Amino acid sequence: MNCNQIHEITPLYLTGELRGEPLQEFNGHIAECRACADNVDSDRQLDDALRSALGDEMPDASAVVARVRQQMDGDMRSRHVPWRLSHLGWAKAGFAFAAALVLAIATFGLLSGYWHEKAMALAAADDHFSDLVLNRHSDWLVKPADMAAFLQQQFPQHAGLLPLITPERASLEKVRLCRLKQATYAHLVFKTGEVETSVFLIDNPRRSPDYQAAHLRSVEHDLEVSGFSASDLSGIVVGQRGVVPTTRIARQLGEKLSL
Amino acid sequence: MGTGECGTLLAHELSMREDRTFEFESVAFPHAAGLLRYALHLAGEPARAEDLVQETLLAAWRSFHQFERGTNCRAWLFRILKNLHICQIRRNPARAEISLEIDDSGLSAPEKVTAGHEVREAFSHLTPEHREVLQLATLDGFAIGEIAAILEIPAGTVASRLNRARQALRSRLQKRATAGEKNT
Ligand SMILES: [Zn+2]
Repeated sequence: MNCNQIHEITPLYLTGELRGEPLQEFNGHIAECRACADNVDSDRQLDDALRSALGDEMPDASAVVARVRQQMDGDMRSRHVPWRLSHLGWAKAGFAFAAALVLAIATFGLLSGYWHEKAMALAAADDHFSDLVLNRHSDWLVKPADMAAFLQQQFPQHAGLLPLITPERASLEKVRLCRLKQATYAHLVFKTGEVETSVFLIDNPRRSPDYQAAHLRSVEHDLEVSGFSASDLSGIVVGQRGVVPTTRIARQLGEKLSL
Repeated sequence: MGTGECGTLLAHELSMREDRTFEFESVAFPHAAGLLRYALHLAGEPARAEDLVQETLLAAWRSFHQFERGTNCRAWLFRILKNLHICQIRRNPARAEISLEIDDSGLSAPEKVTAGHEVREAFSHLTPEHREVLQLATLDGFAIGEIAAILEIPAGTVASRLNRARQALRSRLQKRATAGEKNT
């Protein structure tokens, strides 16, 4: 290891994460090299100074904890409420989301026949939140070759699918399989800058969910959901409200896939 | 984690909840103060920081049945907090421009000249990115890999950012020391 390499891995040394051979090499180098030894010492002293200057300043979180406890109790008490509503996962947004969906459905005059679509939209939003905000899953495929193989495997009859399902100015970030209401969907996450858009894609099963580009939204949690159906694929687009134009994306994907 | 967990936040046995409540409180609440300190760094205003911690703990609680026992709860909570903060910033970009100057008004005159104060002051002048990695690594004691997961950036980026952050902090302190010598 040369001095530059030592410099690069000094942070790992300081957090105690260097082990085995790299650690031996590191120790060997700083035993011989005065400059690097001084740098490591200086970093360590700096960290100590920082800890003693700021480390004791632990803010008092008891008020927050009390508020959280109260809300948790509220959650527990409200469990006689139909569970789909009371356990929606993300706080007050649950009711608002359900209310917004009901409103959207009423607005679109879709009073019957879209129960399934609503449930799927809810499940998709739930999964998007769980995956991208809470980061609950670690089984994502992220390498381009792996993602291409995944698409090929999941949608064998759709060669060249990726460009057709990629929203404008976005690129595929990661993919995994997920289950939404007993149906297996490919969950594709696209990135445009820092903004993530989920596309849930499924081969049209026999009982095809015929998604309309109806725009459903979660008022408080700021998620919106739009569906699309093409001849033999259906999909759901989820993104942050006002940031990701899900309706436009869903319409465009539906059109591209129908060509 | 299997695909079966996906989208099933809702389908969960109620009877399990009391046990899980106790478990959640014992694994999550001890991190509340650390979360609040991180939230103060991100959000600036105490009221917003407290809301952020509250939102984080509730989000974690409501999806706690998905949490795998034995995995790093503290890093998971910090990551949720960071993500919720990013969501808020996207919703309201004006919030990103928050002054993070340390408020010295509560300190008496003698304390202001201590070395600790100089370090705090120098730290407060670092860029938000530099403060963030230093706080997570040095004050919160997270490993590089954990910081990479919280911030969703590669571990190599965390390491080089830490190097630059320490360098920036050092040169600020040195500049101050030199200026101090000149004044005396
Ligand atoms: Zn050296």
